[in-house]
Amino acid sequence: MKRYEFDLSLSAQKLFFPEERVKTKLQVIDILMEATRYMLANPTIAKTNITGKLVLLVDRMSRLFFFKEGKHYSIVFPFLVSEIEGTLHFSFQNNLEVDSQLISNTISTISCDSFKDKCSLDFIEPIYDYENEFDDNFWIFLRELLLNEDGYIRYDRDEKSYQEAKEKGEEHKHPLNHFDVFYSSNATFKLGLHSESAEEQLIDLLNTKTDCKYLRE
Amino acid sequence: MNNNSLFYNHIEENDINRQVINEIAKYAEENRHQQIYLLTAPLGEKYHYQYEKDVIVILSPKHKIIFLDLSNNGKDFEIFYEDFVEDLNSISDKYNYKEHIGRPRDWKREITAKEVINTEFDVDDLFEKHKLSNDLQRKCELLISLLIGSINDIEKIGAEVPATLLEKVKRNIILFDGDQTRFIYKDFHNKTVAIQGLSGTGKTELLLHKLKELYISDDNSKIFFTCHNIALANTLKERIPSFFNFMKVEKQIEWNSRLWVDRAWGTQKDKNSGLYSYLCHFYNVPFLRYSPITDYERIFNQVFEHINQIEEDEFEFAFDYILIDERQDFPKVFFELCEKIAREKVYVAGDIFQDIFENTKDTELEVDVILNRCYRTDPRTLMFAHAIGMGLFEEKKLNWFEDKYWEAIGYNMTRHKGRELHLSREPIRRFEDLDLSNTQSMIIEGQGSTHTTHILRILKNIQSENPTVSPSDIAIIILDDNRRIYEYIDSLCYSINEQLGWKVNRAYESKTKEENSLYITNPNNVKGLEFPFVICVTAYIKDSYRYRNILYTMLTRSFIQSYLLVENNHGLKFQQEGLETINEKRYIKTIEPTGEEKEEIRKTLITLHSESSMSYKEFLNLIFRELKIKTSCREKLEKALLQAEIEKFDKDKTIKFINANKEFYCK
Repeated sequence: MKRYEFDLSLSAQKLFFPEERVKTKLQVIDILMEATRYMLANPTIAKTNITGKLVLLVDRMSRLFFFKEGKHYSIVFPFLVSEIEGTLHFSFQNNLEVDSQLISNTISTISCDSFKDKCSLDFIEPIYDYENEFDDNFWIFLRELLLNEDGYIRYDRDEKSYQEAKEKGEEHKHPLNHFDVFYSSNATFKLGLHSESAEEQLIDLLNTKTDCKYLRE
Repeated sequence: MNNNSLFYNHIEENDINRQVINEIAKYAEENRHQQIYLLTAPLGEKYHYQYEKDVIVILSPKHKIIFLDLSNNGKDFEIFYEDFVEDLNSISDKYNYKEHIGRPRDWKREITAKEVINTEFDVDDLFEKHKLSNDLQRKCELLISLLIGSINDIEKIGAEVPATLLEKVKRNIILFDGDQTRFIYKDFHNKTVAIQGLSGTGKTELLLHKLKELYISDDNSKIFFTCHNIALANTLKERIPSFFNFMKVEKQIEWNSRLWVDRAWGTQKDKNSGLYSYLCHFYNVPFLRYSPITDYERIFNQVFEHINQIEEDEFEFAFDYILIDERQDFPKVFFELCEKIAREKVYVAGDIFQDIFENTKDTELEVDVILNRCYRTDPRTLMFAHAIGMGLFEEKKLNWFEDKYWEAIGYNMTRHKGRELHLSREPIRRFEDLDLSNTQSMIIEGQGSTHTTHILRILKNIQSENPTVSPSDIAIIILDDNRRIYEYIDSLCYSINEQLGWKVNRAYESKTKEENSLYITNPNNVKGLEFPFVICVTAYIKDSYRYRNILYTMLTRSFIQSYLLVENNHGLKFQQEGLETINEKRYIKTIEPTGEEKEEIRKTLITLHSESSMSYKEFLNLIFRELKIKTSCREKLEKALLQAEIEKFDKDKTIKFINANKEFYCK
């Protein structure tokens, strides 16, 4: 297992911890793309500006971890990772390099209006354009991202909501320390924790090579 | 028509006023830098007066507002004057100017003057006598802006005289010049009214004013405002409510029943998503989607033919008025169609010079109003951008115009020995009062200047010289088009985030302008936008026409400073020398091509235009065919070309690359 760490400053942190919580797959793809771009550029952050951390764990199943105070989460990292002369490179199914340009194309495609349009042909148009202009594999890439199971799990220590729930006598509906599994409002649920979770605990929980955790009532 | 673009007469001539108007017009002809308007009532407002035909109100910045009594009828004239001032005060109140410039008692005596015409009447003396002191000029200019309907956002610009350069430029009072005023208020006889101008001459703004005039003048009219570019259509749609609000339009906007604002094409599902969509729906024409063989020409012809088959007594107009921006992006049939389906009028605005290599058709100059005074860009920057775009500082010119066309785009020419030619532009009002001689409006830097660290230094400099600057006042435009620029932009963005704490908007992804973020992009998403500061970054000055045109357009996006940062110094010397001449002498110094050279330029441009509508794939296929490359290996070569750093559409380099590599790809 390989592990790469990247410091986050406040501005980068805002990319990965948006003010509104993640609710859709498009947001997850957006975060995945921003994170990939961030790792490629690997910007230097002054020590005093560090407010969070991004960790990439590379294994048979690779994952990205995002950390800031009181909040951690993780998603699947679906690309192959190679390190050439100290620089990271990412590729998709070994034949498409995930570089800055592809990332930009992807972000712009999923954020443009025609993607959300009512008509299927409007959706196709920008994708078709990119295939023509840049790479024939663009649609395959985008399709895999859309179909990919992103394995979203989040740890939250949310004092405010916990207190609010507690006042209503519902503290077990919103435990102080908890995991949120999945993100869409139909699928998401909480798992309460008895104590605070450290960063490494989330990594360990999701590591298929280490022993499993057990739920206890 | 008076061809002085700073003089505007809105008074209908009669036997009483004719001579005086002529004299003032003559004066304006001799004093072409002085803006003068003649009227008898505020423009664009409902006010009219009994004594109107016996009076002339003269407006000219830096001078008092002069009321001329032509019939020496003291009492009626006095009533006219009092009514006029009262109405001006209510307009001032309506647009919230009053809080800033005060009541008439605060400005009436100082800023207005009454004169009776007599035998010794002399226009020179009149203006001389009523010159305003510096401290009153701004207030007077604000009053003039109200009288000609060139309303400024008083909250933003204020009545106080601004201190710093950035503030001066941002808080400059915008006054329509004669041509602009003519477009808005004059009744034109023809059904289609065309306005043509350089980018930055305020065409879109004028269309908005026209739209407002049309919208409020008739409660039942149906109006479609359209353009080619989706981003521009979206911006317009967003702007109109606040513009109407700002112009105190009391009528509610009835979207998609009285007013449509959208692109020219649209989608099949939503009839209101574009002009063509709507027409398909309205006239029951099958909708066609865009494809390489289905273009504007085809769809508008299709609608046109369809409509022509409708019996005359069954024909209905789809709209009363149609307003079109970006005329240059549409084929002729589109305008014919619009003229057919609009009951009243079609207003068309276009760029005369969107592409500096476009064939200059004489018909382009046959429009109702030509705007050649660019209010956005500093003349020095504009001159440099034109010169570098057309290679005027280089031995081999990329384009050349006939004298008539140079004039149409606002140049004065003087010829000297040895085919030397000087091209200069008249100063424009926007910068007239600013001392910009110490500020460079155009800066070129060579090797090393494209490093992230250097760009950060420039940004910090701009910040320290303009403490009120916001990130959204600055755009960084990367002129090249290859894979590498995306990496470059990424690292630049992170550095700006980290070191300046500024938000950055990668506009090629977001396709919108975001508040409080620095705008960074490739050249594709800059249309219609302007910034106080623009930083253009490129690897080297390329020779291709496409590139030069981009370079020209991007450099003119600034209204204070444009930077051109070039990684490779090759060929930069000529440009730097040319710029020095512009800065020192205020003209472009160039050598006029010989007749033979001009012919050569013309031929090259004709070939270029036949190729310009091609997609990149078509372009490559043409070369593959020329070089007899087997179909089986074309795809591989195409991929390799994308990886190689060769500018798209650079024919020579592409051929060179294919020849050098074909043996590895074609077995």
